[in-house]
Amino acid sequence: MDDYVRFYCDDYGSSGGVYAPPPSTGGGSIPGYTPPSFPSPGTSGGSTSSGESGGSSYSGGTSYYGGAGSAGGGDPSLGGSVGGGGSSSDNSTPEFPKGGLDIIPRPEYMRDPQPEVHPLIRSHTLSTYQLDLLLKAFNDLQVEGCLQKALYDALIERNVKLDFGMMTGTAPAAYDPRTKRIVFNDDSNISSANLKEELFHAWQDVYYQGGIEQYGKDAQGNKLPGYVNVEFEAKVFSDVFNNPNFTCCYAFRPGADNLSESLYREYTNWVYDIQEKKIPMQDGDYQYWLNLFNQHSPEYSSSMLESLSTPRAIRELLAQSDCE
Amino acid sequence: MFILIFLQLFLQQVYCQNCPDDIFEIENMSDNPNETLISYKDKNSSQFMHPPTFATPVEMDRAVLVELISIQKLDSIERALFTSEELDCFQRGIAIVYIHIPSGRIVSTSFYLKNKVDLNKLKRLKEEFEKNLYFKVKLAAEIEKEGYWGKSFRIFVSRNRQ
Repeated sequence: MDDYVRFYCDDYGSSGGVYAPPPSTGGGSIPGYTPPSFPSPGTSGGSTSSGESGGSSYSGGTSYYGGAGSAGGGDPSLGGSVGGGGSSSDNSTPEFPKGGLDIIPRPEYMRDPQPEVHPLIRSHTLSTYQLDLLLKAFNDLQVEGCLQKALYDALIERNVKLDFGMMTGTAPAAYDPRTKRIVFNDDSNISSANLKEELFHAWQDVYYQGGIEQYGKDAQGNKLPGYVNVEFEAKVFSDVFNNPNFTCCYAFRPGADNLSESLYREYTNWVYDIQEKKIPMQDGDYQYWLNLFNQHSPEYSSSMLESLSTPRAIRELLAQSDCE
Repeated sequence: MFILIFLQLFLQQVYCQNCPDDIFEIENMSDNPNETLISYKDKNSSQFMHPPTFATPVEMDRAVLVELISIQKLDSIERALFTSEELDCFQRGIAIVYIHIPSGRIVSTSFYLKNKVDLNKLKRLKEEFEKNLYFKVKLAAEIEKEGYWGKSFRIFVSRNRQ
């Protein structure tokens, strides 16, 4: 249906947008013509829960999401008005191209398969606004630091393709190694900070032999051996390779989980010393903090695996990066 | 006599690092005699240990994202209180703050420093942080009851950002 609709909109060349239906009342209907049905609210257009819709654009790439007048597809009362050219307000019959409406697109108008929105996106179910946030998060991540850039480049080099979507959940964002899908639980959580940790999980998934699904949770939700190793490495990545002007830390938080403030302060110092290149990330220190993370983080606590007790995925990224 | 007592109190306020204080619990943490590591722990910090609660289940470690609204403001507070000579010789310190969620206001500030610092200036620094520094707060779920969130950031690094 989308291809069919787009085909005719382009034919009109009105505003680069998506086809808008002719008025359902008033003058001039076309004999034998049944207007195509349109997506129900929120299925494919630019409407978002916050009412931001259509018309936002992504300047990069060849995305058909960009440009003015993309169909809102949502509830007009929320701002998801149907944009695009061709709608008529004076009850006149819209003019159709000679030859009328074809049900099957003519070969000369057939598009290539869906153009690539972003090299890391295989598919998505995001609204235009959400997609813009995601693309901005990708851009922010690349300029945040050399290792963040290395992570981004490494995923592209390994030809990683991910699905993106929204899903209500307990975490602001989550990566599922089984489906290679990253989901966000709210528009406000589509940010580089959340994306970074999930992309790092995607990197671990391709870097560690057999992927990280084997270190996830079983069908009953029990954490499998190695779960804490994989999670801790991602937290350390987020903490150490954070924007130095941001607050610290993700792995530990003062006052949480019976962690003493002095331990938190020690971890913070370790993170800052690595950031400031005063010390390297040594295995002994890493394992010391991994053990404490396992003790103080009930959400992540699991049996630990010796084979994952060093930050190999981080080190591989460092080796590939141009970080000094 | 009065002058002597006044002088003693004054010097105690300025230079004493292990003395009772009304704002901070001051402790020299270093085991190494050649190293200074002084903890200035806010005496009120224990009041602000409880995090917010949420209307739906949420992973607590990522339930709250806070971001300092203005690094420039932090730098300008430091520069207003300390001379450039002081800032040049201070090593990076850590401020551990408790932030009211959802307002983003700092309610408690402790410091961990590798240099001896004028105690009165440090108290002013705490006061200024709590009055003028704000955090942007992002929540992963709808909040049910307000609470506090502990975070840290670096201090005395403004010269690196110039």
